[in-house]
Amino acid sequence: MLEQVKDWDDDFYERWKPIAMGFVNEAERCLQCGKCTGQCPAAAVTPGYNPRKLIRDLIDGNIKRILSSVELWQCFFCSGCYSTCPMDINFPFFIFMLRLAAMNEGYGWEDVKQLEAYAEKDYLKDGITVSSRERNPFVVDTIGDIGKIREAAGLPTKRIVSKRGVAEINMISDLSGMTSFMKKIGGVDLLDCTTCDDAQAKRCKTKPLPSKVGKIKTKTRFYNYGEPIGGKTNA
Amino acid sequence: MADNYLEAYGKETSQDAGGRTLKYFEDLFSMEMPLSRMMKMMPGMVKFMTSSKDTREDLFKFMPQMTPMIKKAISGK
Amino acid sequence: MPRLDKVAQIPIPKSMFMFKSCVASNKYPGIEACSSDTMRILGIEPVESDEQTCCGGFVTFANVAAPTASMPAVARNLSLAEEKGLDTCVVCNGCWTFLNEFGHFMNHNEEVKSSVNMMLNMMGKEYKGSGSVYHIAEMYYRLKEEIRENVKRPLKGIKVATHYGCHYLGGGKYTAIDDAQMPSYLEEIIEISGGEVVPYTANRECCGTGFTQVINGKDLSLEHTKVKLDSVKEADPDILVVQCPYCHSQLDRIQQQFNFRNDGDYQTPILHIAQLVGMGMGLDVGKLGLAAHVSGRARLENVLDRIGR
Repeated sequence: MLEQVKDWDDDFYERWKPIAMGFVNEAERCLQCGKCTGQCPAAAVTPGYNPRKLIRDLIDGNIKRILSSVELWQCFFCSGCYSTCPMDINFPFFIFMLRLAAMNEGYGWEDVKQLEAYAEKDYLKDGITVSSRERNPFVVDTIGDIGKIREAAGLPTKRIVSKRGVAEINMISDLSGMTSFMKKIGGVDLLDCTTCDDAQAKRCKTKPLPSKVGKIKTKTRFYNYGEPIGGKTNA
Repeated sequence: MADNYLEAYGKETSQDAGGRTLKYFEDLFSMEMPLSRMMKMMPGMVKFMTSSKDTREDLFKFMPQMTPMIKKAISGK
Repeated sequence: MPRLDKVAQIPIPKSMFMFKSCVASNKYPGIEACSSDTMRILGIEPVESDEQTCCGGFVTFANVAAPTASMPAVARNLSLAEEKGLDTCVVCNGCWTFLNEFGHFMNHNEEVKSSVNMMLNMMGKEYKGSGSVYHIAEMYYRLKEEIRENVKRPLKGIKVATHYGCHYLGGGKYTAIDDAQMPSYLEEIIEISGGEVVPYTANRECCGTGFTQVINGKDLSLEHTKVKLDSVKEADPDILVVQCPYCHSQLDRIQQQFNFRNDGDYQTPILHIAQLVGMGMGLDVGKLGLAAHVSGRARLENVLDRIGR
């Protein structure tokens, strides 16, 4: 396995705990028992994904390997690991925080970009993250107009969130930096390195971000924990 | 293109990556309100204020709470 | 087995704030309608507000919103119920976990709470942290005797399998009303409603949605869902009951995708527990919103024929 002990950051985790304010805790209690991995649905489909190894890397400080991996993004967020862990380690929260850290390093933007529209076009416009729009033509044919089904159920034809409510969540989003973060994600230009040519190589430059985070370059991730068996090659 | 993560990171160590990560979270969770941060909040507050009559009233009622914060941010204490 | 001491601690108020789920409102409105009506029949007046927005869990765990952005949004939604002096009732595992975890975090962290309240004060709101968030399945189990008294259309002879989902029992390791490995409260509610419980091997498996995995890593997600659906099909229930609209959406719609690709013939109807309880209580068929379901429509009609419309 590709690892180099000499460039591990072995007090990273201790320094991270107070800063992350209780969102991360207790990983150092990990017994490496593997109960988490044993019941993990993601690991069942693709054995390369291994929560036990991710926690070990986190405590030992092998940060490079975690943040640049594809496996970090394969977690199903089911909380089964937390549920079965004898030491109560809240592993999904680690994944959540580490994904933010990975984005800061330039990894994972391709994935998050696909989700950005839910925030910008649905949550911040209507206050509802799932719209009644239906893309699947078979479903449209089968169920027809969802508005009519709502009426038959005695509900208003369309669920409306008040203008005041939408204005309030927009202000929260603006003030807490969510809007600018979201726009940054939406604005990231994704170029496919496998089909690179001269014109594209010219465009492949560091993309500047608002000053707080600095400049990042979106990077491809690697399978750092084993060959992917399940699913198609790019999970 | 690099074959694996060690090649991609090159000379950088986990200390470098770890340091950047810690700084990112420090900035993210910081509850300090320097002037620069407060200024960035202004457009959002203006947008809220102009959205309707009662949002304007609510934000005006809040103003007295903001003055000590603005004073603190300007004086830098 | 349910933790009876935890169940006994759930209050039975006169009224509760019904937290509307995004997926339920715009994809499966039967869940929204049945949850309010069944609560009313059980003696709890449902209160709604159109200022209530999405809980924010999806955009947060999708890493589009950092926790510093979602914390005020959660506080804002919870303050709507607090203003009216009510506890909140959710129909979704995700909403339950998200609102509870972030709510608890603020209650144990004064600095964060006052920073969040500063933002809420700008809108004339305040978050005190005095209200609690309950899942409708918890309320149903707490009121199971009242359900028994109100069953007007018993699900006699209907075979029902259960799918608890992940976040309520997993995230609620210490706060949920049942054990994560061997839960049984949904089974009890089914039997009280007159139905017959059918076990299947993949009972405690995740539905496979994987939160954002169904969008980012669809192939991983579908592979897992297939395992689940194959196991359900083997047991051949009339209904698979779930307690989360996101599980509901995945299990209902993915069956059709597999059928379309000639990857099998899946026709199991999926019902949310609110719809099942509503069905048993004799709610009007329109309220159940069965027209919004994609899979197993013919079988749902057959079920209604057998128990009477």
